[in-house]
Amino acid sequence: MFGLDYSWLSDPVYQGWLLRGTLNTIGLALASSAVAVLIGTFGALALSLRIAWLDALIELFVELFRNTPPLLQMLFFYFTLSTIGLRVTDPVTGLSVPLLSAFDCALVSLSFFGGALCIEAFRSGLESLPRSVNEAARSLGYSRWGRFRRIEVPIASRICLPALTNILTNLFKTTSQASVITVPELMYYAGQIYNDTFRTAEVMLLVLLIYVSLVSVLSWGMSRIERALAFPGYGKGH
Amino acid sequence: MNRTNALIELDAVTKSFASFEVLKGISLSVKDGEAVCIIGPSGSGKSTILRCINGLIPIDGGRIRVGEIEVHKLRSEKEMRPLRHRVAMVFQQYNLFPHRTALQNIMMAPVQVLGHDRREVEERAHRLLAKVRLSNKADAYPGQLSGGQQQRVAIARALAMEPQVILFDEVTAALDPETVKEVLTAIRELVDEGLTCILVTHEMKFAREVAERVCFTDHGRIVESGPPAQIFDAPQDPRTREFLGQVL
Amino acid sequence: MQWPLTYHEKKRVVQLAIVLALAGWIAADALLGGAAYWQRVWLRLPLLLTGSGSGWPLTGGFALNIFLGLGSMALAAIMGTLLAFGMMAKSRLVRLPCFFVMNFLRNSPWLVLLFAMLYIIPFNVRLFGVSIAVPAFVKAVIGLSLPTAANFAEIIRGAVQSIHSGQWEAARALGYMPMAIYSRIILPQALRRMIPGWMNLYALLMIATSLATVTGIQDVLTTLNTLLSMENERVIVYFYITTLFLFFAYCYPIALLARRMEQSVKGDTL
Repeated sequence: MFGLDYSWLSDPVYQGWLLRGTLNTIGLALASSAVAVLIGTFGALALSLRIAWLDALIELFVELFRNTPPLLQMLFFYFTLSTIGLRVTDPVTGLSVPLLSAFDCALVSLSFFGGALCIEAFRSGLESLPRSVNEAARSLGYSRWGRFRRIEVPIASRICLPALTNILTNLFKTTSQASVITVPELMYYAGQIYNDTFRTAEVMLLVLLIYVSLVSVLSWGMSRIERALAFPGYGKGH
Repeated sequence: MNRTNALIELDAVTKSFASFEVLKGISLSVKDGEAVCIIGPSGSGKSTILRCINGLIPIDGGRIRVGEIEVHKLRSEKEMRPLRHRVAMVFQQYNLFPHRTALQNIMMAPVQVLGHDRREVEERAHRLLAKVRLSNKADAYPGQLSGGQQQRVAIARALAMEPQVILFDEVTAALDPETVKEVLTAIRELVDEGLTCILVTHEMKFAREVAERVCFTDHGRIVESGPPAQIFDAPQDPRTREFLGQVL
Repeated sequence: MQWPLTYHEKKRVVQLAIVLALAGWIAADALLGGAAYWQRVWLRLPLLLTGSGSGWPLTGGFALNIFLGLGSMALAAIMGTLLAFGMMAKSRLVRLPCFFVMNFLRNSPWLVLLFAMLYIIPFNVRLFGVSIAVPAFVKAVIGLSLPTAANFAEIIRGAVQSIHSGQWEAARALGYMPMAIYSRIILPQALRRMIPGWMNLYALLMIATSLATVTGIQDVLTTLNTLLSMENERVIVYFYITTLFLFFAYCYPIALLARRMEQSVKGDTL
């Protein structure tokens, strides 16, 4: 009953699919992570200015994306953005086609989802700075911007790193859901392979292993960065 | 006292947090080169007085003057900059920046805020580290230093701004008894050199030795002030007597 | 309200304005022809919520997502507690495998785990000579409970470790035995810190139940897809917004409550 058959793995076609899928997954994860961190940085920066109307809008964005399924967000972007007008006319064929491809939709939706998580994490990182540190900076004559740039951000970014690791691994794992809107990443090719070979359990086990390895490498790398950037001796006493 | 030669002057300063009136009309003047100790029960507004003098907390009423700067008229952080250059502060919790070494902590503000020449500041920082007897810890991070060492770095950091006045806010309250001495020694040397100092402290013995004048505060008012011998040996006000009876 | 407004009052006003603007926009859209679309959504709402056109019995739709979430959470609580105690065991022989399992589950994507369970768990299980069919719903519950259990265990471990070591020393000095220290000193304190974490986890799990559509059960997404195949393109937007709102309306209050509790827990210890 547990005899697993991996003979299909010797087929170069399937090897190619797995490789291409893995590369696409990594590409999607990297791109959406980069945009998410950008969104998070600017969002948290804007929040720290404490402009009431801007904050209300940003918080709405954060709560909307944090409290709805990323899968549904992706489907929403995929199926509705083209119907509500985001279409262009293909210059070659003259047909009206969606402006955003499946990959673009996945990228946009994952970036927004990750960005919402990043804003929240960066905001709480900035808020967790002891008020006394801020007071010391003020008494040394730092301006608002100087304080932000030279003291708050360097310290807060270290405080945020563990949360950022969580978000980035979460985002990496969530890229698998892009297969539902036919983005040709690892999960998508997995489906292709077991449709061909009917070796569902074997394919899923292998894919699961690939994902776990990649995510483990990512979180290991992040913890290395955390350690390299940690302030010597900081936080031991408290 | 002659009012014109006072370096710092507070006149009927009031301050409330929400509905709680912390300062109920504080008047105080400090001459250039004078060391003044503020003592009193906790919650009597001692730390708030210091924070008002260097503008960390805006006041509700009254006037504060440091040199020719009218502190109560300053509105923005930018306008406060000359004041911050003139008045430095050392905190109870040291408040060193954890992401910079001891030397960098001392150099940061003079270079980044005052725009002084980096090489000159570095020389100054090394000199100050030697002064607080921490030359061997220049490259240590705050997290690697003991409380007393951190506090001495904080004093050096305040001195690096080349201030006219230093405010000490219960700087030994968070320290172990054996490290208190090393910090007090460093402060005593500054006072002896003639730097103007205002100290909020619980160390009565130290206050008696180092201060030229002691002010006793209670419930947002300065109840009594005078030379240490008078305050400690012959207090006039019953509240002062009660407080000293408890702590001595 | 007093003039000038404080920051928080201003924010409230803007939030109110956003809600009003949204309502106004929906009303304007309804007047401009959206009303017909909203009517289609309204017609299908019982089906979306309960899986049956009349609104009863609860055979699918969003109700099934809720059942799925509750079932997975219950299973995850049992497995997670065992895993947590395993991770805190004295013996390395117990501790290390538990850590490995926890990390493996936490590092695997929910969707992939769900698929893997779907295909690895056989369709029929032989128990005492009787063949029992395993329904897709059970597979979905198991598939979702695995990563939840790992997170559940990590919340327990984190909360127990956050209790200051002085508490252990004090309890030992008072003559408590190790088990009694856990049950009378550490866990009562840690529990207060675990509850917000568990609530957040439940909200996360609820969001993840949307993935169960891949197992073919009649959850809200499957129902939605079936419905949409019969609707025109334009209506799809309205259906998606409605479904997104269902999840938001369910998960946001939980997350909000969890945050409140986190704040209140923050103050109670050093």
